[in-house]
Amino acid sequence: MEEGLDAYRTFRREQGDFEALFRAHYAEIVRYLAARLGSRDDASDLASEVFAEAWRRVPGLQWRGRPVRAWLYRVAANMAADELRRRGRESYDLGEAEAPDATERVADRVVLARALRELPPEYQLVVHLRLVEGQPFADVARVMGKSVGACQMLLLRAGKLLRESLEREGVREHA
Amino acid sequence: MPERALALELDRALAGEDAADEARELAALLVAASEPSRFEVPAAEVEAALVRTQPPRRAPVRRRPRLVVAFAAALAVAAVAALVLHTPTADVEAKAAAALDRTYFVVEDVRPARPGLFRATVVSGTVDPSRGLGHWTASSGGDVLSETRVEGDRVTRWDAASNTLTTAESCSAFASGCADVLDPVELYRRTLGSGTGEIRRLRGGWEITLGGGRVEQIVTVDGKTYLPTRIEWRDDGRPVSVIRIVTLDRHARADAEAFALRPHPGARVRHLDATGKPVRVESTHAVDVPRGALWLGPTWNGFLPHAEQVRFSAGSALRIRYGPTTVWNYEKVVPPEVAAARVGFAKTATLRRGVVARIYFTDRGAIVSDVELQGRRAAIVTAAGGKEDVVGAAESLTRAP
Repeated sequence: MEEGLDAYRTFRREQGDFEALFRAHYAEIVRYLAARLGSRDDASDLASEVFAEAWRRVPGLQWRGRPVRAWLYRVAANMAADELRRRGRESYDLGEAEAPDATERVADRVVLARALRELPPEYQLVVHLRLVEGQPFADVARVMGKSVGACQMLLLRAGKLLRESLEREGVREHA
Repeated sequence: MPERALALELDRALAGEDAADEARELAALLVAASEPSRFEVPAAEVEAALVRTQPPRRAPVRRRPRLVVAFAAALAVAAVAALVLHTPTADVEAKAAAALDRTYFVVEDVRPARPGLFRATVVSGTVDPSRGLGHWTASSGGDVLSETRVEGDRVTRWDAASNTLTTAESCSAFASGCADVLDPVELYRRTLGSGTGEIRRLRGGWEITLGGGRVEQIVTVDGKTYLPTRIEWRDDGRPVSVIRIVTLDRHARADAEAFALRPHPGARVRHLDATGKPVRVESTHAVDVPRGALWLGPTWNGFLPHAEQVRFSAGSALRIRYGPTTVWNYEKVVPPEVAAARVGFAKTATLRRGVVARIYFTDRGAIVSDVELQGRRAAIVTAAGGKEDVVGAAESLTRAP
């Protein structure tokens, strides 16, 4: 939502106020990591590591026209990739995401969640920012360092890849 | 359908608008896939994680007594010097504040101190400090980037990049915070009262340095008018941006049109509470029309009134329905259907009793009239009818006995 000087001001304020930075962005980083790792608990642990790194490194960041959030997501994405490599496997623990009264739907959700985790990280990030955090594309573009049009195309391709995955799994409708 | 067009259709489908079948199918899939991640992280969990993550603060360093004595002596010398050499700090700040303590129209040229920091912008707008009103437009290369209206605590901001109109009951709802929604001159005006300024005499004026934080405002003030002519922002001593005041005209008063947002057809409306979350209805319960509420009388066009107290997450409002006509009584929170109407074309009408009303023409044809009457604020929403109907209703508003 911010342009020019406003974005710069926010960058500097977040850089100088770790607690405000943490309170503003911890929850969304947990949600992002939960989708990447498939585990809410692992996401909380890793999010703490992301912010521990932020506490050390954010004060020294140079302003390059992108918000501190962009840095947080990049570090979170790198840490998630390291964690997945370390595990050498993927977890399918959906935690509280399970629907309480529809077994078939839960099965479909498992397939969907797995399909989402198998998307390239860039696709997962655009889905997260646009659909989980509800950010307008202008903000998504700033975090991802791309144009609005490029982010819209990424989201479209993410949707198409999901559809292909579901067709392979024999799951068709998820309205 | 070409991919680019389909991507735009997908965006429309995700916004709940009409879109092609394939776009709607993909939107449904993406929404379902991301649903498990849409969980809340409780505030208590955030605070606990913050305590775990934040390294312990360093113990304060004990200073040597000798240094303390030397410091105290230096303070004493400085105090004596301050008494002997009277500095005009307070006078200049007071005069600078007084110079801006009336309605003013300003045009600012905002440029980065180094190329690439941000886009050069032109900010223009009007501020009425006595009424707490402000309206600014920021543009770059002829394109409008944003438009901001401040009315007391309430801030409404239109962002061109996303064609989104955000209304918030408090500046704190914006990620950038209260100070950052203000234009540089208004920020300077508000900071002047903090008493943190340092003054330096220049040829033909003064230089006021404000703000002890990381970003400082170094403001050049004209020696005769005490109006700002240039503002420089410095970060850790290094210049970040230079704001040149191109025009600063003072007026006795500006009319309501100067503070009105332009129409932004098709804009998405976001209505945020003070915490930055979307305003939502929490409860609705039927009530008798309270004494003093603005209403249309015991009947309107043959319809009886049905009053409800509607509690939103940002406050509550009174809704009185007369068939297709609704009267909202509100103070702190603007009802979302009223806020949503404000993206449309608007006209100002003066009613019979000299009351000024704003009439908005929305995409759905509904018309809203904002009326301030006898210290209360009301809006009338008509699902049917035209301008004459809503003006007629506004002129019939009266306090309930």
